[in-house]
Amino acid sequence: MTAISVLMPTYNQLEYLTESVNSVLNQTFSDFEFIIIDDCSTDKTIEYLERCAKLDKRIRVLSNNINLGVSNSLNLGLSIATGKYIARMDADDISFINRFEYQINYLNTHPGCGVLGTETCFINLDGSKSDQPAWIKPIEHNVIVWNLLYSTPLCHPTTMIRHDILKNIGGYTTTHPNEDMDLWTRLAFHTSFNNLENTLLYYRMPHDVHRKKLEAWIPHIQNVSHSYVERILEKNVDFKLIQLIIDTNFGLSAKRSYEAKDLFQASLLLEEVYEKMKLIGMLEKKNLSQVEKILYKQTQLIVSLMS
Amino acid sequence: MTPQISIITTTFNDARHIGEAIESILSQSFEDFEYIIVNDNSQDETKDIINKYARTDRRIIPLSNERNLGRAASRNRALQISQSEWIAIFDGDDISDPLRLEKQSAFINEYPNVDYFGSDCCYENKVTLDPISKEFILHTSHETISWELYWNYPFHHSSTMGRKKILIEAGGYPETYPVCEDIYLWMQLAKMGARFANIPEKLIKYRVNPAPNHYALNQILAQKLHCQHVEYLIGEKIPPDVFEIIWSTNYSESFPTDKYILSINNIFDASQILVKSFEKISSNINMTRNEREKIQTNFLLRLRRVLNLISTVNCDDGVKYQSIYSGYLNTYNTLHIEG
Repeated sequence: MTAISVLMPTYNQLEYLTESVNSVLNQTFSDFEFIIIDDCSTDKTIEYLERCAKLDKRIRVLSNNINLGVSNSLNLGLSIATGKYIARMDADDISFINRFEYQINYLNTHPGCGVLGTETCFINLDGSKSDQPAWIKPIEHNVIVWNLLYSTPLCHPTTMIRHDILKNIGGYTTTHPNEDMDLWTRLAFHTSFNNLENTLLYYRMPHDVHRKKLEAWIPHIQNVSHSYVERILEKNVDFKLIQLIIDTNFGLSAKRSYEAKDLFQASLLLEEVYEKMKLIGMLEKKNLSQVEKILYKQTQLIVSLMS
Repeated sequence: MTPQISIITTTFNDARHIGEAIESILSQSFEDFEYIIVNDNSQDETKDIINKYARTDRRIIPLSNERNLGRAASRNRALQISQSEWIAIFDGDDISDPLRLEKQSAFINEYPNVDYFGSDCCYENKVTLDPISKEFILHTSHETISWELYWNYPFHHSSTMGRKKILIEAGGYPETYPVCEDIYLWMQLAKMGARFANIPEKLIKYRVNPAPNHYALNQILAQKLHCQHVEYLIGEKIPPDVFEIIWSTNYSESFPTDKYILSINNIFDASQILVKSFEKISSNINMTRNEREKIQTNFLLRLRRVLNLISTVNCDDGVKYQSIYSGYLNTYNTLHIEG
């Protein structure tokens, strides 16, 4: 059994493949299989991948006859994966050569951790690499699980996930286009998360585009968050309140006006979620004060919208 | 005959305490009252307990909400049907001293210009019923209560009495508020010019919930309301971070004030707002010397606590730090000598 199965779907990203594939093959930790799923690219991706596979027998190429999308492609890869850990990789990104080594070391010494992400740096539009962290992702499990209420606190292509846990929850779903946030919200009931402070991946997405893209993603974030909150509380929750919380978090609330009643309901909803998360053990007992502080700040933001 | 006092209790899922609370009212030495108890759609035996007492004492008027309306709307419902000129508020988990109503009724006769007043209280842990000692400085005059209302809670809500007329004029309790509905009402009353007082006697036993519901919203909303009240006084906007620094002066020990709001500028602005408010209030010529001194002592205590925060700030600009600090020490010393 190999230690790691690397899953990398790709669609018409030929120009980036050399760098992404090599960044995996050159890893200092070498015990892995590299499953690349070509999602019916119309460029010469498949020829390139087959050439690579001949040169390195750790590579296995799957080729979809029709374009299936990221979630289905990942599930196909997952169905043949044999590794103890699943490492995600995107075809336009670049892993640092010691990425797997760092992650394996952490996961082997932290058996409670099921999902491990890392910090990233951006690759700019002109191809140059930034040396500043792209996002400051939360390190602690509690903060990650809490931030999942309104954001994606793990960067998908940086993650390494315990295979058995991923398998047990049935892999990816195709319900939401933000398949990663959806996956984390389902895993949150079963395992704990961490992010390494180290930057171990270059992420191709410049700042301005990132901002525009984010606004388009907000409705999807709201949908996933809504279902997350309803599963935590085991009851129906007014979608309007989730919208309010997420708008506030992304600084969009200034454009809208809210009734005091909804603001109070939204802040009480956050408090109810916090109490329930504690009750069902989604939050670790240590470091609760960090989440309390965030809750306090969020309440402050929400109440400040009161005229 | 219309009773002299209408007592209002609203209760939700508190079967453990409601019986004792009701008994403490029924055994009052002062007997001329009606007692309106609103059961806010409790899911436990609260309703049966209320009905049991209602059968034996006709002064009890039980009301029952078909769905949970919250404390504000429940009290308003009782307020609407109450008959007396005076309303006494009493929470379903507290205990009234047997002489509470007698003393409060005598107070009304002695001070006919007062519109709304409370009393001191003793504290008990709601779960363990152990006594709790809590430092609470009770302000008794209208002026000092009005000053305290800018920064903190000047009343124990469960001990208060008010004229029905003025409570109705104020619009009762704000029904959208899940918490802090009492503070909101007090501020409305203050703006309407109601006369406040407190009786310096422990007339109720107040049960403190060790794990309070809605803690975050309660804290934040209380701050927001107080902040708006001060903004109304001094006629300028106050950033929430600055007000949080002033709010922290309610606590003698460390307060979960985030480090980032503790900048030299925020501390400076917070002290400025205290000074402006004090100047505004102390320009009132109708105050007695005693009231003025009490307000000044309270002001100086808060100012000192704000200034003490300077020592927790890392300040690169040593000159600015020095000048602000020494400037305020001077203000402080001058006032202190005058006081």
